[in-house]
Amino acid sequence: MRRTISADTYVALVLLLACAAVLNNLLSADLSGPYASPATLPVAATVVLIVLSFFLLAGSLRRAAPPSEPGLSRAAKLRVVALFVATALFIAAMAQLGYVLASIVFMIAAGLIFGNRNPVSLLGAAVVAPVALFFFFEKVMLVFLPASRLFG
Amino acid sequence: MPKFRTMLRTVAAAAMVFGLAEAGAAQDYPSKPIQMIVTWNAGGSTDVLARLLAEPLGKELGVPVAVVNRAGGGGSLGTMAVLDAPKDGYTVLATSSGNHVLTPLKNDVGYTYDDFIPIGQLVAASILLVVREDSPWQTLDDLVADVKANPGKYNFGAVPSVMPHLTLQGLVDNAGLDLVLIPQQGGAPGATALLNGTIDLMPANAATVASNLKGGTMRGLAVFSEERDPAFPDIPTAAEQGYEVYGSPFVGLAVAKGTPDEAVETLSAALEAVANDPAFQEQVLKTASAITYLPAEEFGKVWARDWNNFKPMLQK
Amino acid sequence: MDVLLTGLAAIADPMVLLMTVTGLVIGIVIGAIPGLNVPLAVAIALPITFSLTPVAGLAMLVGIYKGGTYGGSLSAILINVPGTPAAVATAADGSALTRQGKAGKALKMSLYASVIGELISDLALILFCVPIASLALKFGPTEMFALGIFALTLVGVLSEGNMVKGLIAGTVGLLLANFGVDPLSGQFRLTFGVRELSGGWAFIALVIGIFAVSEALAMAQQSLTTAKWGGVSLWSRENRIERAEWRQCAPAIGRSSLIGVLIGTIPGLGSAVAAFLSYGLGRTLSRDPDAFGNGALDGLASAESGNNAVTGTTFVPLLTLGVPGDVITAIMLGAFMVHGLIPGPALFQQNGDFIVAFFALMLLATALHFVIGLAGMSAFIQVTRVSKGVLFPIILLLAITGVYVTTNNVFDVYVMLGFGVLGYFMKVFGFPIAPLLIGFILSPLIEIGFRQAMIVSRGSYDIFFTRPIAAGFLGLALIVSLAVAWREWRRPAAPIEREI
Repeated sequence: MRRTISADTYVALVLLLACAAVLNNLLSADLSGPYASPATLPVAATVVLIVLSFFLLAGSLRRAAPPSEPGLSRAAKLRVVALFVATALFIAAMAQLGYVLASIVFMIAAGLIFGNRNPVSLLGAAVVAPVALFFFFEKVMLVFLPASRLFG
Repeated sequence: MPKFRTMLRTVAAAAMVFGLAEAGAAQDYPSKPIQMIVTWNAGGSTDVLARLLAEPLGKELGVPVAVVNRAGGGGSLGTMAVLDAPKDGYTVLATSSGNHVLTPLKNDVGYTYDDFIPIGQLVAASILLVVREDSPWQTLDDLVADVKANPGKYNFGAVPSVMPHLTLQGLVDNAGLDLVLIPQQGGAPGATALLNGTIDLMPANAATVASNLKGGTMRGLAVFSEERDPAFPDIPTAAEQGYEVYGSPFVGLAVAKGTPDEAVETLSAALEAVANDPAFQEQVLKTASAITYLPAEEFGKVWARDWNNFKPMLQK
Repeated sequence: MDVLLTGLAAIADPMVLLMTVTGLVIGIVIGAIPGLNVPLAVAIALPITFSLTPVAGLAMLVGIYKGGTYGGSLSAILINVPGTPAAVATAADGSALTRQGKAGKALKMSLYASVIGELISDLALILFCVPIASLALKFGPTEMFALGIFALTLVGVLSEGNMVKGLIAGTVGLLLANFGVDPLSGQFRLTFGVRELSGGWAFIALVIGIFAVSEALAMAQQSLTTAKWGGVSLWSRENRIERAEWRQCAPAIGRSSLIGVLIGTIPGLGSAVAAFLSYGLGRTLSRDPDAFGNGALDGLASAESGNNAVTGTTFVPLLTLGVPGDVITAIMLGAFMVHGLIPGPALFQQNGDFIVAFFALMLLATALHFVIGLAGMSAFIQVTRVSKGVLFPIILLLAITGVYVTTNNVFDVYVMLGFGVLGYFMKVFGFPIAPLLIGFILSPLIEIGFRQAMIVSRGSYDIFFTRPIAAGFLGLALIVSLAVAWREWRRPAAPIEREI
């Protein structure tokens, strides 16, 4: 009989890897201070985290993997990934296309990902929200948003 | 597909309006708003000064001046941001001793004081040595005598390796004292620590403790400047009391090297005009720093002086 | 008597009324919108106040402060995205109530609890300003450390039923706060050679990412072509607060207001700490702790009265000692100084009329908060009529814009997205998110308190047991830990995975 590995096992392993990286960074750094160094608390927290991760690992191995949940559909997973990618691209594009243009494109993309197929509300939100924010910050509050690098 | 095409056209039109509207050429400086980068958080003493300066400076230049806070890394993130921005005079650094001299000496942050062109100094703040109002010490001599009699007993508080700390370190070296540093996160937490007895004395920027001094919860023993602070004429200088120790953090404006001369001159002239305006001086004095304007060239000399002064203390 | 009259006359100025209302509206809106934050609003408003009379200028700042502390609860309740860190404890129960169709009830209780907390705090400020000022001076580094440890045990309380994962989240929060320049030595730590990390993880990027962005990512999972919330109405019968519910919430509000009053008096803690302490204590003392996080009205009332009860007494150290407790009061100290008002004992003797005016202003702001809050609820509840397909893109845009304008750094916007992904996976794998934020907020309190106390004691641990307040808090922490461990031991094995 093959046992499925539960998600908690992976989480615990990722946590342990991260702890190793943090601990390595802390212990190799030259940190000093009177009585307690800048590394004392972070090292203590990392050690606690390692212990807790082992608890998580032990628990997940001892229990049989829970009957796999109904699980997300492929489409749902795709939507999450698409939203992440759209947001990352938007942040990158802000400095290139300028805030307003990048926002409008992003708002349309995000609206479509969320399943909005109504052109009026899709376009309405995509134009009104960025323009309103742009005027509020740049003109009223005198706070600058990224300007376009491509268009001067 | 006609719907989609309309959509695209609307987007393109909006892009034209908002993307290209700012595309004016920069022949007549200044022709668009100027950003003034503050390397500390909103609400700090440099930030308040920059915000007070922004409006009259904008009037003088004829374009709005916007304060942009870019905090972190001991002021190095904001300072680097000015070097990374286009060197066209539209990004000005509100610079202070911390980000300009001390941080680059202490850590490898990728710039030195010499990467900038001075515009002018606005303030050279006073550093005061303060104690609680119920402290037995009335003069610097009282303090020195008591500390010498009880080495390692008294605590002082300061943010490590910034100007007030380094100045007090100067006194410690000069008078041969044994004091214990309890590091603080900032001026206000330091003032709290003094009032609740965690520390016994504190070197502080005048602005940080002005309300406590005027309100009577603290007493100033000395000011580490060449002359007394006009806001606190009763506090004698350390030199008057026989201790030749000086420390005075500056705040002024600078731009990145490579900025056109025309922009540098326009900015310098505007800053000089504002700094000499009595109404502005009075407003700044109320936040407890007197304007000590220095023109560009002399401000540059202050940078070099402080850099060489603190280099042996900070560079390992 | 003259002092009283001139003071009250200063308040009767229509400009003061106008500025209070303006400040409250700005504060509530900025507090409610994830990404925009109150310190930035206060800093931007500061130069405007220089041109006003002292009382009118402060009216605006006080309005922004009080409104902003409350505003975060609106978005926490309606869309499960807390607008401010102080509203994080509100989000769990508030959004659960909204899902049950009781958004109106949650909004009303949040407003009532906030205003009552504020009123109690105002009265504490007015009646006991000078006596409780001495309390502010009882909290040195040792006491701060002990209070931090006590508050940290709440992570355990809030993780009951899901203990290991809750503690992991709390510890990760503790650790995340240690990135960047060490505040006590200026040494760089855990920067991994990344220059942008020298400032640590930006707090706003962490809060917005882990709560707002993660919620948007989780929402994208659902198919919501036409998804809307169920019908919501403010004044329907099921949204009326019944007498029994008042009886249930009244002790919570009273207790939490007192906690808020005390936390406000101590410089450097703030409304988020008060909210978590109130909420955690509420859960510990509740007869039905498992209701917390699933729509407990008294949980919501605890958190909201706790965070707003900070807003009055935070002026105690400012007025009596000239010590600002947080960024917002630091900015207000600047406003006092520009108008020649020097906080400290002398202020009460020399500027009695100003003190009277300021106290009256606090009460006026609280009263107006109630009125504007009632009107605002009807406006904000309309949010739930907007389809999620329109709302969540706007929330993401606001989050990105808000983080950018606060830090002016694209790196921090990416950090926000990264924390959004972290928060999303925490939801997927059943890790509670609030403990991470509690750990992040308490970490500096505990670390700085510990290291400073060790220098004060010259390396002796005795200091933590010989100082009565510190020893008391550490004792309480031990009791709470044992109680939690006991309850956890006796709990039936079936894991209940809750999201708080």
